Amino acid sequence: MGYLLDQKENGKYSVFLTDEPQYCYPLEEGQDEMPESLSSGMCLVLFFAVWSMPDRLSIKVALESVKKFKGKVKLGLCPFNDQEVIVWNAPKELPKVSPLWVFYRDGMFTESFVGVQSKKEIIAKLKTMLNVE
Amino acid sequence: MVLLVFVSNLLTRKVRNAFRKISYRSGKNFNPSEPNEFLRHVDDLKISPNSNKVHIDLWGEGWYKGAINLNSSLTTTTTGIPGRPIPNLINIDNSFTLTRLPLKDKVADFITLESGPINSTIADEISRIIRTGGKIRLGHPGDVVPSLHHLVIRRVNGSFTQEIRAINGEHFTITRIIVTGE
Repeated sequence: MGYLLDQKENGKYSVFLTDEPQYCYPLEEGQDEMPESLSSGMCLVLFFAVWSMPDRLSIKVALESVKKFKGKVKLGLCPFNDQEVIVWNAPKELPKVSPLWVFYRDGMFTESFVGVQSKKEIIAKLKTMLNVE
Repeated sequence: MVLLVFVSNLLTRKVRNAFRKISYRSGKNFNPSEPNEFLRHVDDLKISPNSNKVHIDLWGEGWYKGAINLNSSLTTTTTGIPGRPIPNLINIDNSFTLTRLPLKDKVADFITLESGPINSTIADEISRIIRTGGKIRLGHPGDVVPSLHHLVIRRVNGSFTQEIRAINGEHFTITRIIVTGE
């Protein structure tokens, strides 16, 4: 279980997941549009800087948090490096700092926050989004 | 008369140091559009409780007490509770648009850059602001180190060592460079 990062010849990074559930989606740096796979249902996307250790440790927090919901929440893991992060369907004033946690419902931006978060905080946030105790 | 001058100087120094401490503790920030404002205050900022050396923490959020933090964000994201004002901050452009750091040549005795971006511009700027004999400490996830740390190593004349640490199953590589100059 876990993830790997790969840097392609064009310099872009992409994520590979090993033995993670199907509702966790590895993404590639600099995707202009939201992948089709994430555009329905409740979804959390973690935009993380490849060079940041706190961001990288947040990947584990994100993976463990969504597993609590057994597929009710999808997770996208999107790296960025030397290009400004593209947050799909987001308001213009969104802070471009990381780690950036963005919540979507049916492809529509609902909420975001920045910074290192605990598993407990992410789970609480997801419960609120899903209206579950 | 001599005694009077001595007492006067002593009191002036005490008052100045008291103001410096207040400035340091209050985490005074500097206007990004006024880099000269920083240059005027560099003597105030370099007061670290234990050292008078200039420590620049590039993309720093206040982890190092006494360091001058250069960051494009005004608040913390990865150090302690997110959203707190970054102390001793010089607000700079983000790494994608940064062209120059608002600092004089060879001003830094010590530069730290941990878990922040490095590109060619940033590596050039590190090389410009570090003093001869200065020290640089870089820290990043191990799998990106070859493409990041060597950008800096190639630009400064000096010797370097590397150390790998494991943090929650991730490899974190620290590169220490001692700059020997031309």
